Amino acid sequence: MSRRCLRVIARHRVPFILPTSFASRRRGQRVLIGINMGITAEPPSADSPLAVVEQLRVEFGPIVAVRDVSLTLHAGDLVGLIGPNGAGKTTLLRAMAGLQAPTAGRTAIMGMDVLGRDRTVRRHVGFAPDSPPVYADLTVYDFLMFIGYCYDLDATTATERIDFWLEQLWLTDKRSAKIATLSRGMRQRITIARTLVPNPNVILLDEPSAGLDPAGRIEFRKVLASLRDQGKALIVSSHILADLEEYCTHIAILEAGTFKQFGRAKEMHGRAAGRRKYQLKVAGGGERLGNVLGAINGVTDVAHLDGAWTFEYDEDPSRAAELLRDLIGRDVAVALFTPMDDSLEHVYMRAGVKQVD
Amino acid sequence: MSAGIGVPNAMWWVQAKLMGGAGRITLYGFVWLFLVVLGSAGARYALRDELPTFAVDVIVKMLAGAQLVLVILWACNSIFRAMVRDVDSTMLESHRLSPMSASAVVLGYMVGPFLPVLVFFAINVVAGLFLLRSVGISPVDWLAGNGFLLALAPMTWIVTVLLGIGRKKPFNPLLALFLIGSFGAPLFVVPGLGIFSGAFAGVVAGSYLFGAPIIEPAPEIALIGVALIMTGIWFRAAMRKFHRPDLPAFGVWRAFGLLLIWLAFAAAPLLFVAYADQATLDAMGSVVGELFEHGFIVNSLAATMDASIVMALFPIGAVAFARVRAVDGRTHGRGTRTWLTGSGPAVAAALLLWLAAVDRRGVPAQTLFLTWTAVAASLVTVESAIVLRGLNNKPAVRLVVTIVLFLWAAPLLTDLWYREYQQAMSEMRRELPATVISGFSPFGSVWKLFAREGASLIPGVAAQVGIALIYASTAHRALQKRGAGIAVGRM
Repeated sequence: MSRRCLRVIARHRVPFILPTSFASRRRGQRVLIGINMGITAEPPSADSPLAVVEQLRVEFGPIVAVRDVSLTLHAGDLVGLIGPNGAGKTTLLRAMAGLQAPTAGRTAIMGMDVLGRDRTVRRHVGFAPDSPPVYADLTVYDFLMFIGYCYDLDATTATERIDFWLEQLWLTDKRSAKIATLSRGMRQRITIARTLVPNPNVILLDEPSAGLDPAGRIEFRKVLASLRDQGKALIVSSHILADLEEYCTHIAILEAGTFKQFGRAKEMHGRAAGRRKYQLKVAGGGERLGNVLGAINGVTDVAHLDGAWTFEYDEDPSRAAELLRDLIGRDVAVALFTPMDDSLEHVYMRAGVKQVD
Repeated sequence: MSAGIGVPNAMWWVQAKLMGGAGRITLYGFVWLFLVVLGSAGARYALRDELPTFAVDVIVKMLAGAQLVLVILWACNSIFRAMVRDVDSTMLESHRLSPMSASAVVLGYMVGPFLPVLVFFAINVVAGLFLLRSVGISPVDWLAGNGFLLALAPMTWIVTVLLGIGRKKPFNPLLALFLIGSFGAPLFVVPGLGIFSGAFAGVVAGSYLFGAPIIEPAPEIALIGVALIMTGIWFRAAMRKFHRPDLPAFGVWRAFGLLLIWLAFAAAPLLFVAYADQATLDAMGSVVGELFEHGFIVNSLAATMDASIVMALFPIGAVAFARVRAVDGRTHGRGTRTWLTGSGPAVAAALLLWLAAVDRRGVPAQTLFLTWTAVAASLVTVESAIVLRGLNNKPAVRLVVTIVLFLWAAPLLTDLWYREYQQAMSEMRRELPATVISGFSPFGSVWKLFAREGASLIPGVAAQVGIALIYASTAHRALQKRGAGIAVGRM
């Protein structure tokens, strides 16, 4: 982060994200940095949901794109939305953003109907579609300035926010470039900047990292994690499951317009809260090891598969170390003891999601 | 409106940026000024052997032509291109996402895309004023014409915005306006057509600019009032379409109001001629008398009826949509408005009232009744068709256009072709009367009213009523089926 950006933040206490290294945050504790100067004057309450989707249904003729979906997002929730092509991910996000009128159901953002006449609700929701909507004949700065004006930002605030986000998204050197001259990946970054400059509380991103290069994706993951830690509520639709795995608090698998699976990311990975799956291999077979493990307090779901034992135990590493010492003390010839997780790809494949013809 | 940008509308700001910014707009203004001065000086030099007043008259007429091109053609085309660009790039959706008010966006599209044109317009006004005064000619008509044009042109602009803002492919109304303007007669036979589209206003303002006003200033001022009201109506419709493109541009009441305004515009001159006493008509001179002698009332009646059928599609669509929404009352917790479900035929009743009002001076009552029945039946058919499409969540525009173009017009065209064929085969010189075929469509029924001769309307009208009944009962069953289990009130 440049000194200029830091000066801006220090002077105006701009509420934007700071990289993790700058933020004094502890695990499990969300820290809001600065005070919102802009249109979202109050940080969202931790108790009241930021977005509530009730029985949302979208039909296109005989096709039901979204089938009675309900969802509640609180501050700090980051939902990874995955599913096959045609599952209804984009339609769901568009309906939540108020761009697609539902056949039934409703979406409320900060307690306001997203399709209501009061356009204040638009200040609180940001949506980045997969195809970047831009004025190609404008420069990057002018385009983002226009967006700032659309959200009633004054010129000084808009300029500061634009400079901040251009830096965050590695676009500073393209500030004066015409958008028409930029690649798709660059335009995708501009779309993300367009979504974040107004500082919305609910952020909906449709395939945001599709056009980004590997370095851009890594930086973008940090941006998303920081937004999550600021108390924003986000839904990110993506086919790049490895990315989602890193920062999502929840995972939703959408199939044929309905949630096939939805839950906290950890639980989706096959473990209960505070628990973790471990793998154990012992020298010389260890056929009786099942009885030993079953007798240890806290060990559950013991299974023997392909010559290795798996079980669930406390996720705390120090407790796992105690368990290992206990096993060795019981003369178990431990050859391998390791925590294991199902990758999101495994979870997705295990869910048996059908491809749309 | 954006507070922090020093201009009243962010849309205007971005449109100016897209044109290259204030610097380039100023440069274009100077270039235009240079061209006007150069052209005026050149024309004065080329016509130096003529009277100075003649030369100025030629130049001012050229400027008048430029004013019309700038404010109508260039402006509408600029708006259309801006709409196409924003629809294609999905920037229109980006505007929908923002908290900008619908009025700010519509106003932005209405004026933003042709800001330089207004600069050119002002330069032309000043140039014309200067030239006319230089030879001692009164510039009153010139100023009045420009004033009228600037007061009336916004209606054409907002119609262009409306036809682009809620569509996947914006529609450019310039061609239709040009055709209507080229064939001036319909403007007077069916005044509602010209007034609704803004073309009538353009023609009248143009007549002032060219120094030959076709109506007096007092009616012109009244026309400005009407045009402003219509501009307001289209503006609200465009706002509604921006806010919710999935909803009809007009609500039920506003759509009915629009139909009544249309009927008022269309019927006013006819009612005047129909009900004025003979002495008044005589006092108005030979023109009205000649029109009357040539069946002016009946011809106008037929033309207006045809146009009114199409115009009635607004309230028809609104009512049909309300019916479907009544069934889907669970959406946003909307309650059912049961009074809406039986209001379709009310549209036809409005037409009946008007028809009754003009049932004077030689229009056979039975023909009139049958024609109305055909019109009413056709409107019920369209409404039922829209309801059926709506229940399947499909757009009905294509279906309605198909009904209007083919089902309504085909029997009339078939009859015309059949009679032409018969005439050619028998080498008869006199025109054959309309046959029973024409009666199978509302347009054909109206045509038979216009022709006042030929075979009976009864078989055709009976067939149309039968089709309407089938459609209406099918739609009713579908409504009941869809509404089962949902608290929708009495259907």
